[in-house]
Amino acid sequence: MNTINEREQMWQSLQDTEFRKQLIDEHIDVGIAFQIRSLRNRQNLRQADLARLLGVKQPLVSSWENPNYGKYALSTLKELAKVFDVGLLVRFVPFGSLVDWTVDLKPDDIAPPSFSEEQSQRAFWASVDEAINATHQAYPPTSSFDANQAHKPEELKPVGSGVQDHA
Amino acid sequence: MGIEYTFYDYIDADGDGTNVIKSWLNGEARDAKAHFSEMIAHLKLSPPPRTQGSFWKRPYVGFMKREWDGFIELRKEAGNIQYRLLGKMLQRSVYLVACGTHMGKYYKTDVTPQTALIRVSQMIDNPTKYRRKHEYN
Repeated sequence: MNTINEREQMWQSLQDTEFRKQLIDEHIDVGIAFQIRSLRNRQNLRQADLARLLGVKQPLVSSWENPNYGKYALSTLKELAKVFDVGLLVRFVPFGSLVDWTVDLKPDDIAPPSFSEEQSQRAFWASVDEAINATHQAYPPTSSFDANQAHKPEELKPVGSGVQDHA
Repeated sequence: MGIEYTFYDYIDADGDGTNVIKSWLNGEARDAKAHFSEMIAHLKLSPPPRTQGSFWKRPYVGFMKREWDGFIELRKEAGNIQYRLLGKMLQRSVYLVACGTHMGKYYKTDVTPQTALIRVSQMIDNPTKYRRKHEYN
């Protein structure tokens, strides 16, 4: 029996002050470890490659990807964001935002696209919009369709060799 | 969006009917509860083991050996105690069936591996009675 959804379950846990304090830590510690590893994979970088780009040793990158590490410096996160070419949000938020993030988590939240990937996606959707607009201009939608005439069951009759009434 | 894993908690339906995982997380492992919540939320989205980008490996998930062979564990250290959540992964389901702590030389679990295996079978054979989707409260 599952009576309440995950969001409500998390909200119940938040009634405990200790859980709220833990969640502040774990949301960062677990979330950032998964993000660094996922972003590195998405960008086809080895730990050694990322270490070289940041001027650090490979074992440190390995530590950053460990969800039990928990000692991230804001300066490190800023440098990582620059290397991955993604944004970095550091904000004080209501706990509801942490719950929403955790419950609604999607793969793209963990490994967001880099700026160049975003740019490509925007260009693609712009070309789709352009194609749709061009189609509308070439074949303007007709206004002859009368919705009131479209659904009159009593006027439906068998056509050709279609349905026959044998009664 | 890809297929997600589903985590299930064991229900002690033949005893007092409690969710044993939830009870442990709200009791003995209270200091590790938020960690396991976040880990489960992230692991649900992981690609399968031995595939590109998978998180089904250390340091995220441990694959156990010896008497617990075939089980996986999630770990969190808090206050010199290592809390371990043990389960069995079968296709896209993870059955959480046992809990343990490791302090110094001492490693103890709430049930034996044999009982844990029985619990897994119960959760598969009689899902409405013995299992519940992982509860975060």
